[in-house]
Amino acid sequence: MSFLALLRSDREGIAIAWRDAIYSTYPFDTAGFLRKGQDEFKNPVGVRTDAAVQALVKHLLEETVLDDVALDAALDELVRIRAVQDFTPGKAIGALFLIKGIVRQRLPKLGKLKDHAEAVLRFESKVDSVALRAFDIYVKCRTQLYEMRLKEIKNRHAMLFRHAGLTADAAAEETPDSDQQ
Amino acid sequence: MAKFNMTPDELLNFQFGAPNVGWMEHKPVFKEGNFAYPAKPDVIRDLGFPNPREWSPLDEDWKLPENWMEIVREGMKDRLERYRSFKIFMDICVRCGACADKCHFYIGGGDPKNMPVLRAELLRSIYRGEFTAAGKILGKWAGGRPLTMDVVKEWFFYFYQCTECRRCSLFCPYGIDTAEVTMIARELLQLLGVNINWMMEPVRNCNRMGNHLGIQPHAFKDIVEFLCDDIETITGIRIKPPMNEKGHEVLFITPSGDVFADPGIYTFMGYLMLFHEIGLDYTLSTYASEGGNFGLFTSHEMMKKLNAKMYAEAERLGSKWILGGECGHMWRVINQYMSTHNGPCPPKMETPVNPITGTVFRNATETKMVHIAEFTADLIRHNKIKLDKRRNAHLNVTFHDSCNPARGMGMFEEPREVIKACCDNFFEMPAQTIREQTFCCAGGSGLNTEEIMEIRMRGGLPRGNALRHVQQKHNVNTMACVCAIDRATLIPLADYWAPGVGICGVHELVGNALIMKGEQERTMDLRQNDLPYLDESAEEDA
Ligand code: SF4
Ligand code: SF4
Repeated sequence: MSFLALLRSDREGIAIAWRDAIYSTYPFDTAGFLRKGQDEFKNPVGVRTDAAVQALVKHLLEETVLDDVALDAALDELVRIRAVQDFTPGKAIGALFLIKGIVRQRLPKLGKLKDHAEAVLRFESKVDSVALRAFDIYVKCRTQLYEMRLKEIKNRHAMLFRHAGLTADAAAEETPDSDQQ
Repeated sequence: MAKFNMTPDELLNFQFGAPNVGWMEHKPVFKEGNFAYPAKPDVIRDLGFPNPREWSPLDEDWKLPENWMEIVREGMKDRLERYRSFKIFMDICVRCGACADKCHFYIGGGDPKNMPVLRAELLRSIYRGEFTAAGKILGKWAGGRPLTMDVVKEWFFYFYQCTECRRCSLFCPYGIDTAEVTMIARELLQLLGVNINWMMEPVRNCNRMGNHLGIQPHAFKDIVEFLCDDIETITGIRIKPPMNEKGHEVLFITPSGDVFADPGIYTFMGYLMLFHEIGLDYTLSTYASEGGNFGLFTSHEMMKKLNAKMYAEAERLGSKWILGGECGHMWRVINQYMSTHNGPCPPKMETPVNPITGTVFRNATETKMVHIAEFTADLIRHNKIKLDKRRNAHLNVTFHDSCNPARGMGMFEEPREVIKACCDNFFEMPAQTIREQTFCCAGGSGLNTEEIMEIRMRGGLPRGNALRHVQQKHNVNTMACVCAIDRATLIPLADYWAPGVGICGVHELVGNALIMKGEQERTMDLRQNDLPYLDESAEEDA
């Protein structure tokens, strides 16, 4: 059996272990809450994390991978939340790497490791590239936070800027060739 | 193969999970982004509040008064005697946990101390440790703990992560209102000079100039005129709203965000157009130029003081009743506190009657204040205004119940009636996220400041999640609300969690749909964007 087929035979176990490991990055009481709540509106973190893990397991374990759009959507589901929670960047993205340890732990029960050493490395490289994409999304989310902060300040004072003649329109009128600069 | 057998923590070579210590031992770590900036000394000085100084939560020393312990103890004792509700809330919690997973900050962030029960416990444990015999003797075993500097820091951290939204109280079998616990905790912190600028500066400005931004009367008037210019551009009709004029039946008060901030201004334009169309006898006021009342988040005394201008101005101008704009916490103050704080109302005020329909607003007998959504819904019920829904046809609208109008005054139907009269495409978010159970915007109670954007976003996840659901299911592209803070805070919330959904006030939709006598053919909406339905009908004609 191929290495990926071997992992697929334990697909559900791997997904649950990965999901639970991510839940365990939260404080103890919260991990329990995330695990038990199935209502996506009462427990969005738990349900979204689970959905992301399911999609990523598919991507990592199937022979045919998700396309970029679907992969980014799955990662966004996980990373967008962790980017605004109380995690360092490493801990936010680190959730992705947890799958490596899980596979290493479970593999001996599934088959002989030495038969698959190369496939393991290939699998782990795939995890790394997924994590790099996650890093891009993380940075995008954090950048968005700063952009939103600026936009909010502008919105809040919109009429005061206009009163002071400081709106974009007024500025554009004064410097007609500003586009060319 | 040993190295293939590493645990996840070993693999990453740092502790991944949260430290497994008791909640009381786990101390908050302050860092940029997880606290709102302290109030500036001049702001505190202007207000005559205690302990003005430069300080930062990042510093070890918060420069508290020397006798700070005594101040907290005395402050707590005083409030336990004055507010029976506070004493009860301290005594009766059975830690059943029903409220634990109901707070948006806990749901979105996962920090156990944002569970309402533990949030209140931060204060309750001191109450037990300092004020109950069992707690004094048994300490920790009776759920008590001593008052230390760390406790004060923890209070600042967590009581400024509560938006006083009251969602938790809905689920408590004893009706414990953690929002009120937060209010008292913030009062105690105020006594030490531990507060945030985002709240105190608006309070100072309101106290001195009448509105949050401290805009003076002439500038306020100019800006209203700018908005009238825009209305004229769009409709061809020139509106001249009366300002500070005596002898009008109605005094109209709205949050100043409606006058200064985008997109609140479009809601404001909607009000003015409506009043013009029905010929309402009203005046605006530059003295009562703020419906909002950040005193609610500061102290009972400050709330009372800032609220007082409403009746004072109604009396000065001789208005019979007050019509209030789309605001959240303004209505919590009016509905819950105004008549005990500043009532009874001036003697010449009367129970509000809609001059157009004759409806008597008996619900406003006590305060003499009517919410604009009630007023407009009444006009619509009596068929007194003409609305062209086609102008809003490109909008698929949902409605965010703002916490205060929803849980603080029980207004659910009227805004929905108004929206449905203005738009054909209305979709509700899931039942467990609206009406009484509505999820907060996570920026209420003075937390709508940009430096804590990430806290707001995690707290905003439950609302954003429900919004994304209707966006995906029904193509919702607009979320309407009746709160000025929401009109600001929901913009980043939607941008982050449901990008593509815009935010508007309910009366922006009214202003767009309203057919006005003598108006030119409308080609633009209030934001001066082309009206899409015109293109579509032109194509059909061709
Ligand atoms: S009042 Fe709202 S923000 Fe405060 S603890 Fe309760 S649910 Fe959370
Ligand atoms: S629901 Fe009420 S009694 Fe139960 S833990 Fe929460 S505050 Fe205490």
